[in-house]
Amino acid sequence: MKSILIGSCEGHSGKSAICIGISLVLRDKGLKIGYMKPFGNQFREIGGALVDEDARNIRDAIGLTDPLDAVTPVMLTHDFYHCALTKGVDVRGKIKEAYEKLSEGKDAMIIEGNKDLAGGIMYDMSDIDMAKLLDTRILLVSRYHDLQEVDNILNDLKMIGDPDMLAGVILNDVLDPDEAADLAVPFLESRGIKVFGIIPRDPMLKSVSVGEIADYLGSEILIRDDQRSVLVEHFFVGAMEANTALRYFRRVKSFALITGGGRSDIQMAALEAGVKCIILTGGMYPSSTILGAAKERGVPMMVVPGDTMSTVEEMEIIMGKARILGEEKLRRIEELLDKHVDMSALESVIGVTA
Amino acid sequence: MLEKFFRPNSVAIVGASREEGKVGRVVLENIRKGFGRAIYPINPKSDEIDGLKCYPDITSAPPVDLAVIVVPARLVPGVLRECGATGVKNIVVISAGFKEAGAAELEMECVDIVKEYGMRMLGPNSLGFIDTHSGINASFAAGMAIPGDIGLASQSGALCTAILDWAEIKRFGFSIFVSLGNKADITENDIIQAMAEDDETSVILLYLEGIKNGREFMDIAGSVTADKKPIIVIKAGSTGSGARAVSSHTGTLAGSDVAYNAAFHQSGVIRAQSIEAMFDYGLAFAYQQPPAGDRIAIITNAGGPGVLAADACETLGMTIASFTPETIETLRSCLPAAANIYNPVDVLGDAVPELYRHAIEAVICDDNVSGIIVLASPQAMTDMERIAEIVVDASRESSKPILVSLMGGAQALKGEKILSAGRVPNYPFPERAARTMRAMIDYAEITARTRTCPPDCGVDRRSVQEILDNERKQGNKRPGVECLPLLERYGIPVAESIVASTREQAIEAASRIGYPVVMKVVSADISHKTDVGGVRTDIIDADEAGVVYDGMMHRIHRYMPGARIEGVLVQKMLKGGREVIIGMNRDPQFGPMIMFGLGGISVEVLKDVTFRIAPLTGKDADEMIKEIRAYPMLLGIRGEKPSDIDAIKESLLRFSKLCIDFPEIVEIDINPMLVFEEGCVAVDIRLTLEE
Repeated sequence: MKSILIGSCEGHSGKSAICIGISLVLRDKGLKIGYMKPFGNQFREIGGALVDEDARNIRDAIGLTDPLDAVTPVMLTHDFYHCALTKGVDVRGKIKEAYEKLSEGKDAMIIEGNKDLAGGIMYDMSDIDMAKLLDTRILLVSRYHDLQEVDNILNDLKMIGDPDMLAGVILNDVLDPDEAADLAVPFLESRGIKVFGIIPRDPMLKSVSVGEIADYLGSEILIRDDQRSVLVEHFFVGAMEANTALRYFRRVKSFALITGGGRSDIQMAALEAGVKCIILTGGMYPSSTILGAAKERGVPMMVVPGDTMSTVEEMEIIMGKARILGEEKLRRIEELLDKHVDMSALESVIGVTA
Repeated sequence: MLEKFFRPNSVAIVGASREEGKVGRVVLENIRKGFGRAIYPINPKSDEIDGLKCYPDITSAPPVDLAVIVVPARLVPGVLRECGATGVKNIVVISAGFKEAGAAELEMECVDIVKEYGMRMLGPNSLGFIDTHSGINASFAAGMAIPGDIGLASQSGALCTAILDWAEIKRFGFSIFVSLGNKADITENDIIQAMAEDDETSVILLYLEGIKNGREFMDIAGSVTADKKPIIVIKAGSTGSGARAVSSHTGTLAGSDVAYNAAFHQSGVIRAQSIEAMFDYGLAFAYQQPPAGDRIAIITNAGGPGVLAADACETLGMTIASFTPETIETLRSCLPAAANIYNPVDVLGDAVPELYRHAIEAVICDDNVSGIIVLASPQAMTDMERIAEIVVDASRESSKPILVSLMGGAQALKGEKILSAGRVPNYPFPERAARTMRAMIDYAEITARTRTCPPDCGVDRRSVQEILDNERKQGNKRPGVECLPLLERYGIPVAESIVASTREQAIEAASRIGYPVVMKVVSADISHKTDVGGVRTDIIDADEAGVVYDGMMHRIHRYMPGARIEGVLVQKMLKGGREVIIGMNRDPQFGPMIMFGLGGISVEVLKDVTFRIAPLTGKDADEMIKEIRAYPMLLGIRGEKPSDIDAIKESLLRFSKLCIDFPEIVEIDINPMLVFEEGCVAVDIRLTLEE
């Protein structure tokens, strides 16, 4: 089976996004792509079963209908670790079986690895073991913030041992693409590591939608529920004088405002500056004129029962775990891969050269 | 323009009601009271109302000039369509329940219909309007206004009714009286224009919570005041609490008070701080001519009030006039020996009214006097009525303004009626007369300015556009010092600088520029460079330049991980010079608001800054430079050489043009700009760009 395992040096490097992106690009070329995330760690109970929410989102995003217990055959529950450390577990059979089932009728398989390459060593199924088991190679996604990241990549190569097993690396979330291209890429390639691309930082991928915010805060969207998919990159707490606030609001892109229901001046200033959504705290409803003005501008407003401080804490959590959801982000990730990654080289590594 | 609106030949009341006390009935009754022409009540449920034939809908009624709509909000769009189809051009929507009640779509729908049929609409949520000269009271106010020459438009309907009630006992007359409502179509700008064209209106008073189109307001108000029709405005919502109330009341941003002050000043509009002041000023502007200077004569029959008036005048920046020897001689010859013949002139408490005549006649002819304040306190001998008659006579003979304060209550009232009939304003206390005189002087000073156009200056618009497009393409919303060349393209001198992205380049740039140099980090993610050690001055040689470069990069990577760093900017180290700041913040109502003041880090502490709305005229720029408290420092103190004020002015004008030409710049600060004995140089800059 033609396939690739997407692994990373550390967690939150963007594996999921890269999996989606590669799958979408290849699918657009008419190939049938399968997806597997053997180990689940984002638990959610759906219909009486424990599923990995990320894996489910990715499966849906790339238009697959495989059963989730095949996409993610092993869930990393507390009980699983308990067994692994006491009597020992053997997951080989389960993974192999699921993989074969998923591969049926596909041109290629995309396998999403563990949190990092070393994850799973304790039960003999690190990414390296998995690549051997499924007879595939590893594409490393590296969250590249500065030159010191080169250390991590070389360290991973050392861990993999066999240079042939490392297909190459994608530098992701890169702050200074020029520097990376000038310094890191020639160096890595001189060490025999293929660099497929440099993907610059993209705030949009780190944004969350108004709908996600409302769901997480457990609040009703009072008006313009049709704008649920609008994306928010930053948020402001409206505590200052309106004209000062207006200046700060204008300095950022795609922001949400958190403020009290009584601060109509700040709410108007935010509307003036093009706010994406307004979250009113303390269960205080806005005045009807503000509702009218927001409606007119197509800005959703929601009211949450908590105070401003606790709402800010929750917002920080939401913004910290942006998921690749919604058409706009899917399009963007596809676009980024198209533009910044040498897809034809990647295709030939996977073995699906069209 | 809105002549048929305020002076129609025929009116339909859509939603006229038979039921006593309903708005549809009150409006009909109000219109019938004074309007002698065709009136058509519209109501599908009645054949006649109060003896008038009633029509089921507007399409079945004879054509009308004006339709007043009082049906429930949801029915208004339908009625508007019918009005449009039958060719009605002027509409008042008294009905409420639109944007103010959260129904923004309904209001937008109405505006679309009005535009489609080329109609004009006052409201919705308006109390209506009154035109005393055509006798129409198309409102649901409790009473009718007395005819007069003051036009009033108010964004608050409740204020309208209160003013009407008050004006009745004060015998205060209006020409046109308008409740603006939600300003969905007709705004204050349309009303100002209509009142400017109206011969019956000599002064325009406005109560506003916000302005819909600030730039247009400035243009219209500016030309109206230049044509010598004064506009007096109360702008509510100047404090934080007031601004909150404005936002929740009208769903608009109250706007920055400094922007309003600048806009009013530049367009010759007088701002009143209270309703009382608005009417004090309104009366004076309606009745009297503004003075030609600020030298005031005070005539009183009592010492205390005279002193208070003198204090008030001087506090407000007016001059207590020094009389010519001839005037003093005349006063000496006609007043009692104990009288004070110097300003304030005291004719004494037992004065017969004729002494006031002598005093006024002597003073009013004095070339050193621009205006007169006459005070009288009711003493045993004081005949308020006679004094009032004397003042009225004198006022008729002279174009110099006379303001009066007949102090007290019952006694004063007798005189007040005579003054009012003789078009001389009276105030219960001297301070209010003084404050009003000040407003008249302000108006005279502002309107005396010739309105100059912004000067033309050579600029390279295309390359600035390229710089901005490039920044936007890279997603830089807040570019900084690397954008200095943009000022250069607009003819504003900048310090010689080179961007370097390696240690080697930085050293080379420094030697090309010549030591000593300044090094500044270039990063769109860092707005306060000094806070993260991103600025170093006075670097004297290549060794130091290298060390500074390494240190700066290390610190910034450590303190601001994740910041995108383009490199450093190496700049010529300039010594001496005064630091000033030139900035712009785009006001939601008025557009680019230019700031000038003392610069550097002191700007945040001293806040010695002044504002004007762009485009600036040469006069605006001059005023800005002279207005700051530190102006004497620019002129040079204690033997210092003066700074090059012409260079600042030139930069201000070019900067103003830059802000006008590039609406995508929402905020920009040149801070500091160094001013030398000759020339000035921009050293640092920060912009905010629109997405």
